[in-house]
Amino acid sequence: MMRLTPFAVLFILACAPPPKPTELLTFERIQRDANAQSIREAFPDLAKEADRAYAKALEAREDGDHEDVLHFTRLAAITWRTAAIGAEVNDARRAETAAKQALADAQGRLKHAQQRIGSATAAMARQKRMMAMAKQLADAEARGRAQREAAAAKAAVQTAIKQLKIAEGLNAASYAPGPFNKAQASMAMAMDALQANRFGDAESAANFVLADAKAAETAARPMYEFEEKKRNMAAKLNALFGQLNQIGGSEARIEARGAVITLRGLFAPGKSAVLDESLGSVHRIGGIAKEFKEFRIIIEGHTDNRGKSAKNLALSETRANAVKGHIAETGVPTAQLSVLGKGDYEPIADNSSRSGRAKNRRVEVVFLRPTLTPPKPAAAQ
Amino acid sequence: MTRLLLLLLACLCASPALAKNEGRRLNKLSKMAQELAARDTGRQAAPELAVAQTWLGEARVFHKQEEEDLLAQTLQRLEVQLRLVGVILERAEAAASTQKAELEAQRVEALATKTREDAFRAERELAELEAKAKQEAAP
Repeated sequence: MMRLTPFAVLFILACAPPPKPTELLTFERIQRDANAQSIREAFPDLAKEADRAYAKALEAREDGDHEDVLHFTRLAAITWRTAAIGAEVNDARRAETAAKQALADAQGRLKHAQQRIGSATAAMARQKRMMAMAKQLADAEARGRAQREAAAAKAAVQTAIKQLKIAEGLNAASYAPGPFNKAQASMAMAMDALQANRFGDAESAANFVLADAKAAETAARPMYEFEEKKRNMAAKLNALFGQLNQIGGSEARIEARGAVITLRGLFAPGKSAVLDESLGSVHRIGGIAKEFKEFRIIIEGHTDNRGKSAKNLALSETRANAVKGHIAETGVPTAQLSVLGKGDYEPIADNSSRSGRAKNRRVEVVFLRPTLTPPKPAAAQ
Repeated sequence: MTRLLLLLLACLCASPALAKNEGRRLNKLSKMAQELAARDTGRQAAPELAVAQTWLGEARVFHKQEEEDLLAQTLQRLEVQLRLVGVILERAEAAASTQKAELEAQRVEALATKTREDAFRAERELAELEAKAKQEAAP
């Protein structure tokens, strides 16, 4: 019995199925992996194909065909691996899709940012253009304002120059030196400012010139007019004297009180009627008196010292009145004429000689210089 | 992927017809192996292609020796192996494409970030300009 035991064991071993090859075991192990189910779901056809190859491998093992076992096991393993990598391909594709989506998102964000930049840049450009335009407008306004200021300053300076010339014409330098000198100093400032294009300063200075020149004019005008009247009066007096001087048989002169013409031989001795031959001279005086109305006239009668003085005084007055009457005959208003008998009180020559007495017997017609009232000096300052 | 699987399915379906002419089938698989080798620029499927080349060599020998059964088995394994190589290459290409897209996304994202910052600066500058203009416009 004991001798039969090894044979029995050998028999059992010979009847037992051969052990599974490593490839088949490996395939069975990977099919039990955790992700096997997901591989089957992703690629059912490949999984079934692998299963079929596996089944054939098992059959071959049953048949003891070792070559076929290896062949189908390899096919099953390769097919299964193909399915497994296919699943990985799916994952890679998903990752690719996600990456592309991320790229698209990033591109979208980039586009949005670029649009923001674009719109901001465009708005900035618009803003800058608007600011440039505003600046141009402001510059133009400033130029216009400067031109207006320049024109106003020039006009003010011209007005001031005119006023200064008026004051100068009235001799304000002498009659109102204070305001006139101030006006001239301000004018120098105005001209300087005008030259330096400081139009505001120029206009202000010109206004000062105007005010000072007006003050100078106001102060100087009365003095100037007074002096002018004096000059006119002197000229008239000279003209009067010239006309009186042309009357024959008389003497004309200018005194402080005015122009005086002395007539002699107008009367017969002791008489008060003007001789006919002398009437022409008297009437000519009347004609001159009409021409020079502003001169009041005093007719003074003078005698020599022969006889009583009282009688001489009366005679001289009568004779003066006679002359007045003849002058009045020419149309001279009597209000312009006055009479004064001076008798023998104002001799001009020696009464002891005949010729001296003849000189003293006379009628003097005085054209009184009109009185001119000078302006108050204080007003000139 | 789907296209490749359909192609492989068509190849499988056509295999009985090709069995009549194993030589033609061998040529076709040989050509396919060359194309796949050309696609494998990154050598991601180098070991699998090496196995396929071995079986291709064996198949040529069996074809010469007219060992039809062995040739059929080898061609079947070769076909399945080439399908595996195709999937590996597809996975590598998808990964490369993903990486490329990710890199591009990163680049664009960085650019977008910078552009956003530029936009913010431009907007701030604009706001300052507007404020200045408003201030100048004020009497």
